[in-house]
Amino acid sequence: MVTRPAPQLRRSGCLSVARFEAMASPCEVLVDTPDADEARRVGRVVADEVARIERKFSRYRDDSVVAAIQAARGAAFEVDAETARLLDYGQELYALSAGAFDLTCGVLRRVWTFDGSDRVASEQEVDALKPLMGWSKVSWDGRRIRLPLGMQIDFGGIGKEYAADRALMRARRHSNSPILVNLGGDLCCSGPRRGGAAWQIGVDTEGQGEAGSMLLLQSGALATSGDANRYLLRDGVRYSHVLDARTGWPVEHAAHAVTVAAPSCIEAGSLATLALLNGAAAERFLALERVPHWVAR
Amino acid sequence: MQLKQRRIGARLRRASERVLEQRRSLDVDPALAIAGVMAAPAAMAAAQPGEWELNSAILFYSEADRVSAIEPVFQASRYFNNDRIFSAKLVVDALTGASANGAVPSQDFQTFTRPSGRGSFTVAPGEVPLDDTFRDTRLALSSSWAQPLAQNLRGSFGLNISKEYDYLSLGASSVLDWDFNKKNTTLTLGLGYAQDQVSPEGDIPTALAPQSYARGNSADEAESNYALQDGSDDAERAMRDSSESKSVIDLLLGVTQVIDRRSLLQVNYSLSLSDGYLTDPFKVVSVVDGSSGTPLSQIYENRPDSRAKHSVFVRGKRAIGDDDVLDLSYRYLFDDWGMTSHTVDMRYRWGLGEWFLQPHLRYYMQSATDFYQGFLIDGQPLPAEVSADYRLADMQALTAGIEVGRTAGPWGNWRVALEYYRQTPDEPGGKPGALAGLELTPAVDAVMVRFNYDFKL
Repeated sequence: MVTRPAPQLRRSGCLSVARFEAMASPCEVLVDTPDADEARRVGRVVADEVARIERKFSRYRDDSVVAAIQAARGAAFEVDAETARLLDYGQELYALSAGAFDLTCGVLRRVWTFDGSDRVASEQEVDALKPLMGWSKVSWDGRRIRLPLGMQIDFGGIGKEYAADRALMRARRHSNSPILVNLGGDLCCSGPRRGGAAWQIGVDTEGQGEAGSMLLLQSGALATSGDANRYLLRDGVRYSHVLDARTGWPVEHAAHAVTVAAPSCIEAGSLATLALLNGAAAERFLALERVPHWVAR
Repeated sequence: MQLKQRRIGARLRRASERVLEQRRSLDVDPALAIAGVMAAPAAMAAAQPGEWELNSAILFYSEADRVSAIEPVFQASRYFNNDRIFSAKLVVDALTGASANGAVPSQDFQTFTRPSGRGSFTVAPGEVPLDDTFRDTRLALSSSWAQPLAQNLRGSFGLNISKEYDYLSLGASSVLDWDFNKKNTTLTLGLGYAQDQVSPEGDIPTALAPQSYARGNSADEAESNYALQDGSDDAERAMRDSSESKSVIDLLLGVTQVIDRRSLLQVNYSLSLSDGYLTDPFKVVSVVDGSSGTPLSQIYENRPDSRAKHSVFVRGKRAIGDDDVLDLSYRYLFDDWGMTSHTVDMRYRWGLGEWFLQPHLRYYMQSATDFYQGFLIDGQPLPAEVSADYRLADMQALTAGIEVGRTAGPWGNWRVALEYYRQTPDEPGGKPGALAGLELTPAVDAVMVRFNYDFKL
């Protein structure tokens, strides 16, 4: 059994911040309360819920649902209700993006590593993976999934946002204080701070740990998608880490970062991802959706 | 990625709620919020502190053969931390042209003076007398400050000043919005006070006094400043103080209820109490001969010195499909002048990707005030209060229009509206002699074009 370190608690004024690492990201929970014990409890609940979701949907663990679906080796596998809801959601995003977003495109990671180098995949490498991709090859009836042998399901595109929403929901059952959950930049809050003030969020579109502009969040969620430290550069061409599942290639003219505000983190994250997939038309897409957004290019 | 031009927001919202096992949230549909609704959309990041939002508009209004107006509007709002907003608005109203002054048409030439006694105009036989020296520019400046006062309680405080050549209005207002029931219900309380002063050129006419009056056989003669040259007693007697004032108190009580994600209902009750000089110094009533219908003289009108108006307003909005919004409203108004009115208004916002089209229809009908009379019969006792202003008569009005706009794209956020307006006052009854064949309150046709452009700095 792996033991995780307890979240680190830091206090400034009435605001307590619990920090922990999860999903390969720095995470924090802000609790607007003078009661340090309450803040510690809330931090614990959030960290536990995030860990549960990470364990359950991780593609790196043998005991995850993702591993179990694959282990069925092409046979039908009945999933639990939570997994079913996430598969439904992924299917909806696949439809809304006309196939550009696809839960099965995780295999592309074998040929694309966005580490700032110039190792751009070859056409042959990408084409060789195409038979192992495509939600249309998956049979899903809302209860049982049949995943062809060699294919993978990857919740990476929505898992962190989903975890933030879920963790906040749990935390709210334990505390009436204003809470903000931030999982590596995908964040959601329970409402305004004490006295009605907004949460002040710095926007770090460069991934340098420095906030550029400041956003105010009264309620709902913010999510940022982008390629701050994840891209390839060859012959002066920047290859964004945003892959179009239909081609297996990075989206052309993708924005560096897109931040979207929405009632839930999963909705904000999905809109940000879809905006990136729209390449040069990201701003138009977001203006059309009429959601508050900030695009860095 | 080639996304369809249709918005995906509503479908994505439903999918997000399902994956998070949320009951259908009562957050309003984004489409409703966009269509300019009262209830703020839950869960939206506010505009950023330090950011200016600028709204500009220009309106052209033209009544056939009567008043035309150009009205530029400019509003700037600045956002501060903690949801505090300052905004300032400037409206310029440039009116030119003629407006009906209440007198009846006649078979003979007639001429009238303005309250000033300076400047006059002539009327062709059978035409409704219009005061075509009417020309004015109004300048209105207002500012407001809005901020949260407590959790779920917002307040806004405003000051406004409006100035015309002969009119000054100063006002202050305050509005409180209290959200409860998980922000699905908003209670609004508004209070306003205004103090207005009218100082027409040449002083305020004495109520019911005869207007200085000249008769001529030719337009040239009639146009000479007869009244002034003559220095007639009538003209002097007819003028009184240099200015008059009135005060207006407005009270608003409203409830906005989110019915479900896709519908909203708003109910408002408002009370407006005016006190002071409510008469229009530019309007007259004709005194006509009881058998021939010939106008004999004009007297200045007189209205009661107080008015209490009550109105009840009900409005429903519903999002339809992904991008459409139906907006229906009804207003019932009654006052202690004996007027009642009904207004039914319908708009349908038809979303076409980044474009939208919005047809608009409005029907209005009112009953006359107790003291409205199209004319007075010579020799009959003079009523204490009387006005022949067709705006106080029984009437119907219809507005039909269409607005088209673009909410995204290279030119930002703009829209253009074209509206046609037709007002049909009822003819006064019992027209004697020659008046019977004349139209005292002809229909008014007007066309309005408005262009809006919004941007941020």
